[in-house]
Formats: sequence, C-alpha cells, structure tokens
Amino acid sequence: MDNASWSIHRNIMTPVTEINEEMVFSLKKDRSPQEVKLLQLEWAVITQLDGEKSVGQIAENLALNGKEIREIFKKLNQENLLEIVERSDEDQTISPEFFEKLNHEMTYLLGPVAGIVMNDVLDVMRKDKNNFEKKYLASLVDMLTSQIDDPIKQIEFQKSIYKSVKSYLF
Amino acid sequence: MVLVGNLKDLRLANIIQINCIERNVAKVTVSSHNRQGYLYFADGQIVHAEISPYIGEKAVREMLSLADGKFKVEAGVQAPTLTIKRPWNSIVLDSLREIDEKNLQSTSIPKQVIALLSEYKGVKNVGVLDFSGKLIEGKLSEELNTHSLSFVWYKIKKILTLFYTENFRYAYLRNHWSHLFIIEFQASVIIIETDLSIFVNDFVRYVSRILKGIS
Amino acid sequence: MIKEFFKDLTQLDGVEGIALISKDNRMIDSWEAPNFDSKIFNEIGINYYQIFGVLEKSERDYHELVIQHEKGQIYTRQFQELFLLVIARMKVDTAFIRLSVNVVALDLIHSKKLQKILKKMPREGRNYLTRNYLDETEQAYFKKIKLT
Repeated sequence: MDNASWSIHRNIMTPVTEINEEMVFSLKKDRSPQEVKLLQLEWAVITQLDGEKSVGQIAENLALNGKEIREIFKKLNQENLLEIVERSDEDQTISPEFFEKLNHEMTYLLGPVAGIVMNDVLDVMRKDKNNFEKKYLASLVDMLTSQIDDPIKQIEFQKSIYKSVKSYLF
Repeated sequence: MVLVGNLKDLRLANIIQINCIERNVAKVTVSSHNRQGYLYFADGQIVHAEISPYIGEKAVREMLSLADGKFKVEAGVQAPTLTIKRPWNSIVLDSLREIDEKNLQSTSIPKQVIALLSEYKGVKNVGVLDFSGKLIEGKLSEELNTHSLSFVWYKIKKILTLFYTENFRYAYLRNHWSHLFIIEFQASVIIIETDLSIFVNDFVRYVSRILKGIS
Repeated sequence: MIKEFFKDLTQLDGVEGIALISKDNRMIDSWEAPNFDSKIFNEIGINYYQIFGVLEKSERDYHELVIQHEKGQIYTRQFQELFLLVIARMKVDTAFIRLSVNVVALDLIHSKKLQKILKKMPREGRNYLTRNYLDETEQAYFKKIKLT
C-alpha cells in the first residue's frame, strides 16, 4: 500500500477518541443499529448519516447544540455503529499566506480600514484566522464583498481572490 | 406489476409525487384501520380518488390525513371515472396545509420569540404570516406585500414537489443589500429581513434552536 | 455555454444540474451530472418567472433565491433575460456557487454566443402571471396581491 492510500486507510481505521463538528461518519456495514437500544434522537441522527453530512450539519438539521450532538455521536461510536469518512486536520484550514493576500486585496479596495473590516467579519462568523476552516472560505469572501460599496469593485475583489478560493476547494 | 408497502416507510404524498412526475398509469390502494381508499393516476395527474364517504379531492385529503396503513400500487390500471381536474401538486399542498391547520394547536409564536429573533445583529424586521398572507405577528417593511410573500412560499413548496419533497428547511431571497428569509413553522411562515452582515449558517442554526424551543 | 462559463461548478462534487432558462421559459443550455433527471428543468422555469415577477412590485430588486430542502438546495439567479439554476446537494457551499456565478456573470450576459442564441429564440412575450398559468390557489393569492 503506498503512502497516500495508507494515510487515507489510517484515517478510517484509527479509533475516534474525540468528536468534532467537522467529522463525517457513515454507518458500519457489518453492524445494524437494530442490534442496539437507541433513543429517538439517536435514531434521528442515524437517519441523517449519509457519509456526506458532517456532525455539525446533522446538528443543524436536528436543531441540536454542540454538546448534545457530541454526546449522541459518542454513544453511537461506543456502540461500534459508526465509521469515519472524513477527518478534520490541518489540510482543512486556510494558510496565513492566504489571509495576507486577502488583506492585501481588501486594503487596495478599502484602504486602512480593511484590517478592521476583516476582524469584524471574522467576529460575526465566530472564527479565528489562525484556525479558519476552508469550508467557510467562500462565506468569508461573500461577507467581505458585502462590505465593499461599489458593485464594480465587488466583482474586482471576487475575481482577484477566486483562483485562490478555488484551489482550496478542488 | 404490483408494489406493496407501509405508509410509515413511504408517505402517501411521496407515492403521489412519484406516480405523477413519472406520468404513470396506476392505481394505488390505501388500507388503514378497516378503511380502504383508491387513487388513480394518468398523464401526470391524479384523475380519480375515492374513500368512503368521499370522492375526488376530498378523498385525496382524507387519505393524506391517515396516520398509518398499507399501500399497494398496481401499474397500468385505468381509472373507472374522472373526478379530479386540479393539478396534483396544488391538491397535495392544499390538503397538507389543511391537515396541518386542523391538527396543530395553532402554536402561536410568542412575542418574546419575535423579540429574540429581532435582537440578532443584522436583523431588521420579523413577521409571521399565515397561509393566506395575513400578518399575524411581528412587523415587516411597508414595501413588502404579505400576500406576495405567501404566494412565494406556496410557489417554493410547488417547486419542491418536483424534488419529491414539499418540506424546505429554509429559503432566502437576496439583493445587493439584504436577505429575506422564509422559514416555515408549523402552519405559518416566518419572514425575517436582514442585512448582508449576517453569517447565514449561524443565523439559520440560531433560528432553528429558537423554533425547536417553541415546538 | 454552461461548460464554458461554469466549468468549475460542473466539476464540483455535489452539483447535480445547471440550467440557463430564458424568460420565455425556453432552455438556453443545460448540464447535468449522471443520474440526475433533467426533466425537472422543463417544469421549473415558469415558477421562477412568477416568483420574481410578483416581487418586482416590492422594488426590492431581489436577484437571487436560495431554497434549502431536506434533499439538497436550489440556487437561482435572475438576470434581465434569463434565469440561472444550480441544483446541488446540501454539502455544496451556497456561497461558492454565488462566487462562481458573480465572477462570470457580466461576461456571460455580454457574450456574443448568448446574445446570438437569445436573438434566434422566438420571442412570444408570454406573461406567466395570467390566469392560464396560475392554479386556483395562485389565482386567489393574485387577487389579493392586486387589491393591496
């Protein structure tokens, strides 16, 4: 097995010790939920498991808070019902270089207030640029764009940053 | 070809959608607690329905209100008569709405909830409309016609029938300076006007939690 | 046209279908992922004409409608002469769809190819906000909208 595929394989085989909201799970094929006594909410989570929705997305769909959803996934995992599909790791966050580029573009368009605007938007998103998950990148660009009044400058900004955004998502 | 199943596994509304969108000629027999009803499909529509003592649209509504039961789908069976003319998705949407309004103790949205939603940074106005377009709680900008908004709500549900569902999580309209959220809650719809500073993912999660608290 | 202007969206995992539909409800171009039923595009156009048509009076100039449902999402952008529809699974970031559309929108609208296609299309100027195109429930709404 080469390094790349071993790395993917390792992700799936490594036991899950901590649940975080970026994780994506699916049901194990060799074990049925019917073998376990589950509460209604736990069944509701089971029905949401499609190997695509993250823990956070399932929480949103079922209107559960972070603590509630982590408890449920912990239990399902302890009952050996789940296998992880995707794992959050450093590859899922945005590099400091990208934020420098973003800041540079915003400063060009907004002037010295760019830094304040960026921090305000990050505050609203409740995110930290030192640990910014790539899945929120397009939303960040969207919200920064709305801070630019001129529609032509909005497009200019989006065009200048688009390639970098794309490189994170593809 | 005959297909049988339980209405708990596949809802009657979905069975109707599938047969209409696929333009099947079919007869669906619905059995529940010693009652038996029939729906006939052709050319992408429901053409006839009966469940004693009802015929036509009323029979469709009655069958959609059944909480459980079994169904049997027989392909290629022609309807004995034609009693339904209205488009299937209008009938289904109207029936489900009437069932909702009848079953749910109209859990009005408390003023405190409107206040909580209004306090969220970036929210301009919050209003609650009934299906007919009447503003029953809160307030909205004057330029927004509430009947237009209820029309849009109805149209969204109609669009979704093409996707084998009529339940939407939320929808929003957007222009260059604002969002207009349309969020269904039981038999009413909540309209929330916001500026573009809100983070949609977080905002929708916040609204869901508040509404979960009420229901 | 879609493969030319929206190549990135066609390659994004989770995007199932994209369509450009004229305001006369004619298909300009469409793209779909394997196993996606494109018949939906034939039925969907009129609904958007009606939605945006009714909202015109509000003078709010809404140009985008996003519908998130239990099976995915439908992103619609209104331009002067056409609608763009993107049908995708829930996992696709709506903000990225918007960004992809924004960066090519002007080029698309002004493209000679699009202008040529629109010119060739018969312009029947149908008004989909008339009785013939509204079911009874919609007609009832319409009466109330007109009166207020």
